[in-house]
Amino acid sequence: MFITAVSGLVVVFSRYFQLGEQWNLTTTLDRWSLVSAAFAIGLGLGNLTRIHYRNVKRRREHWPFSLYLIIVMWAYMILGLYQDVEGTHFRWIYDAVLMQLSATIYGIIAFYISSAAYRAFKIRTREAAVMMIAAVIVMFGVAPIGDAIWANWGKVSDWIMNYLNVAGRRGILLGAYLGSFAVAMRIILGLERAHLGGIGTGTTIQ
Amino acid sequence: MDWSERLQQIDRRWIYLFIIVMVSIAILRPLGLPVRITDTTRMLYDHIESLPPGSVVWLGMEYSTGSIAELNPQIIAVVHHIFKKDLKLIVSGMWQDGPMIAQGLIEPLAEKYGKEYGVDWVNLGFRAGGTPYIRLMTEDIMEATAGVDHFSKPLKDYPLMQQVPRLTKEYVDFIIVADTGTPGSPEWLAYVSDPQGIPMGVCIIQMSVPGMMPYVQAGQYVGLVPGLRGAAEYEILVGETGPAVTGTDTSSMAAILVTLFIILGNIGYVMSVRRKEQE
Repeated sequence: MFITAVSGLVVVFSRYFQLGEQWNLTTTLDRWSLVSAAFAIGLGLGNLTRIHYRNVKRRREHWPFSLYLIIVMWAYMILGLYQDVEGTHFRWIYDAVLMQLSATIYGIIAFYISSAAYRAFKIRTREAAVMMIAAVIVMFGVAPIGDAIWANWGKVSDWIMNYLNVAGRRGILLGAYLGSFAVAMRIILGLERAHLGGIGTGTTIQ
Repeated sequence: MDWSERLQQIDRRWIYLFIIVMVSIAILRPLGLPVRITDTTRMLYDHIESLPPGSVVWLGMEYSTGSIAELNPQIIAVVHHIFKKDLKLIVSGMWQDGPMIAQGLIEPLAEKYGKEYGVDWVNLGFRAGGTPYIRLMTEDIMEATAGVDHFSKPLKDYPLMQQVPRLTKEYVDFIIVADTGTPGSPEWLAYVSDPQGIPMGVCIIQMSVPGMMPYVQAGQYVGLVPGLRGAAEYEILVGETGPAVTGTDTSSMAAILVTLFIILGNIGYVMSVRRKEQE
């Protein structure tokens, strides 16, 4: 808690009031953060291996997937260390397997969105009707078909995006940033201690 | 089950099938509908166009492989423009996939335009740490990257990196960030672009556009390339039409189909409401 408070206050005073800039304290903290992040990757690797090794050892449900994860993770890492990140086999696996599978999974969202739009956009209330009409206008505005149907379709879509959307978004963003600042201050002042662990996620001590 | 219920409860598998058929038709037989250039895409294009030859453009690759369908065509089109304009390019990534994807995209283009690695462009690779990483680069790139690039080769050997010791306005003329999440363009804006006064533009997926528009209106982003449509627009602007132009036809077909299903669902809903009122 003391480390969090000191680190937080150093950054706050340095950023907001330009105090202590001559000692380059924020840069030093950035350096420490980078080194910690690099170690965190190794820690994550070890932790993931430990958890899935236990799953395999105790024959928990779906343990073959845990075994698969351990083998693939370590084999790919060793291959990368042996060949470097642009090595022929390392790169081929990345391009032909990882990239394609990942893009496919993302692409599947299109089907779910289509089905969800069909079920969700019902004119049950006036608000729902407004949302549905706005959604259809923007959807056609983004696709070239909108302009093909009516030359000004894109302008109407842009108006919705640039005025109605931005007004709402700006309010949400300001609220979110003010909220983040409040949470940061609570953490620095020691009022929020969930990040220290052991107390339970989201526990607040007044 | 009467018609009002049937229209409201179309099996989702039919919807999936129609989507596959319509999208396949658009890919196999492109409609070739004209693509209007949106203001935000033109703004980014115009800004790059205004940079004098030799200017340094920084590309933050902050996305993973899931978004390649939308963002890769954007990056290809933008890099075409950068190399055509004879600008220098430096690539970095807070996301581990970003520089890997960039390498696969930029290498063939560099070869096409006769650009030499280390002289005309450099890939700094991925570094863990997120925002402290990019902020530290404003102080010292060598230190932030541990002095090596994507291939673990020393940066000091590259003429381009000898010219650019820090990520500041003095050395970098423009930042482009391609992102799909956090850390992404808002972090670049808060920790590098705004404090250093370096103009910045973004390449994003269509889903992120509503969230980024306030930054464009505020002038914090000098331009924005929106999704696959934006990629098609940029391809047209640089005169390198590719997969994105065809891809926009798929979004037209999908828009028609989704709207048809929404209309059918609502007809069913209105019918059922009227029937209940009559009862």
